[in-house]
Amino acid sequence: MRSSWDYCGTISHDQLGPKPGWRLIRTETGPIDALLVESSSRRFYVCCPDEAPKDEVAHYLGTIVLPKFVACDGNLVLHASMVATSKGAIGFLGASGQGKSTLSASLERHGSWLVSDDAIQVQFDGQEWHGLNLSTGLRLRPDSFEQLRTKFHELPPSRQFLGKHHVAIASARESARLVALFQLAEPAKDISIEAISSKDACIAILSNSFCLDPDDRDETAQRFTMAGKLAQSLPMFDLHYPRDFERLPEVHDAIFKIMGWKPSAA
Amino acid sequence: MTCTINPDIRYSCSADAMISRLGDEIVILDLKKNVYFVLDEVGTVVWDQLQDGQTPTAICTHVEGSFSQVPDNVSADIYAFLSQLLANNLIKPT
Repeated sequence: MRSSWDYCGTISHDQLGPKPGWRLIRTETGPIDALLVESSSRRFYVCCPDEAPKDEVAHYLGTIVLPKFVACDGNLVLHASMVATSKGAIGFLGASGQGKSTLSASLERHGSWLVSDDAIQVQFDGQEWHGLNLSTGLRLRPDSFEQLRTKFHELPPSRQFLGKHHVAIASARESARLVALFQLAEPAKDISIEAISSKDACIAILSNSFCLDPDDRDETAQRFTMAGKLAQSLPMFDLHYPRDFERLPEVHDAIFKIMGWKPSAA
Repeated sequence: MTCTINPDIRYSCSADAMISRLGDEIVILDLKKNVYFVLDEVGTVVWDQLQDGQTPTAICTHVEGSFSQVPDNVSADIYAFLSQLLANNLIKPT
């Protein structure tokens, strides 16, 4: 856990009125209706229906809310998965459902190490960028889960959550040196990879980063500064490919080729 | 929305605008609206000239002298660009 916030318990809708110093953040998906947060003392309440399953609330806090809290602490947190190879780690950015987890799980199956599934905290140590794991496991869509299920075992909640299965990552690493980012583009018939400019990379990074409160100027400014720095330091590519399990090994080859790596680098 | 640019006064960066310089280009973040603007190479030159305290008239002269192939209506383009910056509160008269 790289963010230390105190969970103060649940709160009812009646108690969501304005409170000096507290911000109300409504959520659009999942079992939680809203969060009431007090940033300066790092405290928060959860507003959710009484019948909301506790394991789903806990899972939601760990997977969806935690990255936002880490971002609120002044960190750049990308909505991305990340796999490590012997040559360095690569991150895959993209909206939910674009295939980040499936591609990462597939690379993991072929010898790479999964670092994070859905959220990576990006840090610069003065010389290199590093990606840190912020995921509690891997979340796979049902079709990907069926294809890859022999490799993984399920974690709680064992039923589908937000339309995905939650599975353990056997070979997960806590962090790795980040050397490139790939933005998953809309599905395409053919596999192609195109380098993108620093300014486009900056916008892509910002578009795929977590923030707790978009109206918080300090948080937004910090995110912007780090995104610009990251965009200038690392190569970034648009990755187009068909969402076809049979062709994922070709996608791996294309990624390794553009990175100038031999397949054995996995 | 369009805003009229005075050719002879100086404009400076608004407190709500934050910039990130990426090579020859600039990305501007509007902190108030949380919206990003990307400037191309010419836009970046215009922006830098604004920050150096140049008036729109001086900026047009500078751009015309800085690029080998400048379209005939470059001044109109620059004024339109400055008007956009002003309309989005990214610059303000000083």
